Amino acid sequence: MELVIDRLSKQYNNKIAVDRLSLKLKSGVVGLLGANGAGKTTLMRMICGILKPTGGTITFNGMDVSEEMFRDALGYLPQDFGYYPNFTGKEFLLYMAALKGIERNAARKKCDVLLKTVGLDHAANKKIKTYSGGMKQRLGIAQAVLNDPKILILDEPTAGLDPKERVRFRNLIAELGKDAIVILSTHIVSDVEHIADRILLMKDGQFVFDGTLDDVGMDLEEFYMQHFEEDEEGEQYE
Amino acid sequence: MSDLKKKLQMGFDAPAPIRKEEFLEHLNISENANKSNLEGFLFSQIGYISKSAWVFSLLSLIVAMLGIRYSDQHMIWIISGMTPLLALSIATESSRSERYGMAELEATTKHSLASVVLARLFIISIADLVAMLVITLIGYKAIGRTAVPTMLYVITPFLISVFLELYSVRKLRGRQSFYACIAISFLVSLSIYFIEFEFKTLYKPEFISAWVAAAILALIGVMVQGRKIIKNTEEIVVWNWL
Repeated sequence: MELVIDRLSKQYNNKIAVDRLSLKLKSGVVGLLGANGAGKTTLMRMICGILKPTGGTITFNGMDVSEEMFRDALGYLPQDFGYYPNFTGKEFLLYMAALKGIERNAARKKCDVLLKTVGLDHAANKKIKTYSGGMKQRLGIAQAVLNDPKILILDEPTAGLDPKERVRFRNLIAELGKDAIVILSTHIVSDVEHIADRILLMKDGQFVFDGTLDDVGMDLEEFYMQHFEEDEEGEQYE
Repeated sequence: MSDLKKKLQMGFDAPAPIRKEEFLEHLNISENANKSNLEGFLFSQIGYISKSAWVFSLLSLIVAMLGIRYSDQHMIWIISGMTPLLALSIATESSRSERYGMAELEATTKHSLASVVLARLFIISIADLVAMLVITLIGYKAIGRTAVPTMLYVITPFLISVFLELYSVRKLRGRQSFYACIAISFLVSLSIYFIEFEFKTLYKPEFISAWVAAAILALIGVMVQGRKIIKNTEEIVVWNWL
């Protein structure tokens, strides 16, 4: 199982959002850290195949990410997502299961299991519009793993989760990372610190660090802040 | 030779399987093996078309039928003017994913956003075409015309509305496109009523060629706009530079 990104770029008019990135990923959890505007979401959207790159390629096990087979193996939680207003939590999951091509009976069983896993079994038949932010986020995580994805892309997945929910989420992701490629994008350093096998630090569309927690050699939060202190010092002299 | 094979089978044990899990994973045999097919997906989408779209189509059909039942043969324009309202459901369903922020999620599934939009358009179009066929078959005798001109009077305002509404769905976002579609449907309906009320010429036999031309142009417009909408959803998933 391998995700290969080769000289990937994305340019919007005069702004380069992603700048010639190359990467190879195998199963495990990859933490993608970076400030707002670093290019994390743009990179993740290109990996998911929903944003067209300006240059470069992305392949998963040799297949292009625009192919249906790739989407069949993909699970995605976007940073912001909506829902059809009259859906209950369970109806939403069943709808996503239908789109993911999961047969109805299997989908029902899977939805029940997942709703219990994310702690939403008590609210399964309530409309999503009554859910809190954390509940919506947990529902989003549940839909992302419906199809037992081989590649799981999570964009700011812990936003809105309380500490207990965050710990539960980390355990779930760590478990999933044993058999899948999990890319977890966040600017919450502690999320990455606890579960990531590999850390990517992104700034201005480029990777400024690629390694493990051991390679960092210091507190990850301090290491992360260092890169932005350098940036601020540079700005002072401009 | 078969005797030899049997003796060999008896004389040697088959080796135990190795890397079985890897092989099975490669074959992609999983809990999801019993996957839904295209017809199943299409059928499943029927349940996800908004109830308001069905209610609106049904109301339009009922009003058109009442128009046929209680109007005289000159009031073909009542039927003709109702069909733009049928077109609302097509335009609103095509933009529903984006309106409710579901487009990004739907774009990453096996049956992607393009498939969802196409499926909805297909289902709603079939339902609307059936409704218009019913109106035509019941209406043409009641209004004293033949079936073909009646079909033209019924379907042309529908096609004009669909064309204009699909165009607005492409150009406007979110709630704006929804309100624009409502305005277009009512505008086309009111235009028909106004022209017929003022000039009383729209449904005269000598203008049938104009109706044919309008229907053909509107149909081409619908196909072009429909293709562009699907291309818009595909553009973010299909690359052609590889």
